[in-house]
Amino acid sequence: MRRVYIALVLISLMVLVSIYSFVKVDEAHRYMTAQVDSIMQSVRDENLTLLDHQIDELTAYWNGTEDIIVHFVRHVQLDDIAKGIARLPILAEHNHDMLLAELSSIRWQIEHIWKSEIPSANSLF
Amino acid sequence: MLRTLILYVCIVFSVRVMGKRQLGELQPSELVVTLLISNIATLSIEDTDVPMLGSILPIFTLVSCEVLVSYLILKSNTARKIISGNPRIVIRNGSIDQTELRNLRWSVDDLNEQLRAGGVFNIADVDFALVETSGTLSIYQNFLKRPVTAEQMSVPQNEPNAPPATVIRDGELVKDALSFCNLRQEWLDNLLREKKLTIKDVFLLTCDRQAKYHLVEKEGRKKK
Repeated sequence: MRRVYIALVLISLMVLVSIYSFVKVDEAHRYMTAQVDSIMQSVRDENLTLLDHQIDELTAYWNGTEDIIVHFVRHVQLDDIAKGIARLPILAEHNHDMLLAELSSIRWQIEHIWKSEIPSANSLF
Repeated sequence: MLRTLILYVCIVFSVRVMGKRQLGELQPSELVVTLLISNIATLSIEDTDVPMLGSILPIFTLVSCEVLVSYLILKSNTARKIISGNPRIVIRNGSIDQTELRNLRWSVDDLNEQLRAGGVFNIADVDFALVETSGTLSIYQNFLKRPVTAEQMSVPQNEPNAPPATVIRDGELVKDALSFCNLRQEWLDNLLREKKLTIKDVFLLTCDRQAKYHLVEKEGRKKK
């Protein structure tokens, strides 16, 4: 009977960890999507002061969040986002078309991570 | 390396949680869990891009499911039949059930091999044989071929029915062994004094409840 209790405790712990990871990825997905959208809007509006500030915010947020979600998500996917974010300040200075492309790529990748976390027919099979 | 060590600890813990049943003969569900665990563990060890939790969570999920399924099998006959199946009789009243053998996809050679592994070389000596849910063959030989028992021979039991216990193992006294043999420390002290040995000089000392002992000295030690 002791083993059954251990199994139940393990299942409870795993459910907690899963909920925690789900919440963290959800938070990251919501924030990143909104922030990327607003950066794209700033690019289209040519609002460079706000653009720099928003990119700094996105970078700071990602640096804090990546340390947490790296425990739940494959590192390759996160590395791709981190690489993209690292390119944003330079692209903001020199090439706004490339900046928009990079932002779209980041948006797609965070969306992909989020979709693969949601239990659905697509992510399961 | 650290990841490997952590996963090693997790897997040892998992096998301990699954219990000794797991270490012996595997039921179908246990075999599946064992195969999956070994595969999942290698993911994180081989590929550092895979988070540790990506291996640990599935392993613990499988182990927990296995323990709960074992509990279910223990409590429910229906669950036992569905998950583990039933033993199948392949030799009944001395004749081979060929339909059952075909259902099990066993050839006559497979049956003979299992019989030989069970110490039976003539199929005519077998009254009943069952393929257990773990895949092993249990054999019930016919009366004339069964080993004779002490009861059949009317041999009285003159000595207590307890196996010998290891009292000293590689120079160390085994806790509780003397009390298992109903002996005291003085008996051991006298024995060692008589043999001019200390506990450290003994490689193995086994003893039964009649104080019949078997002593092996350590090699390369001089008697005092």
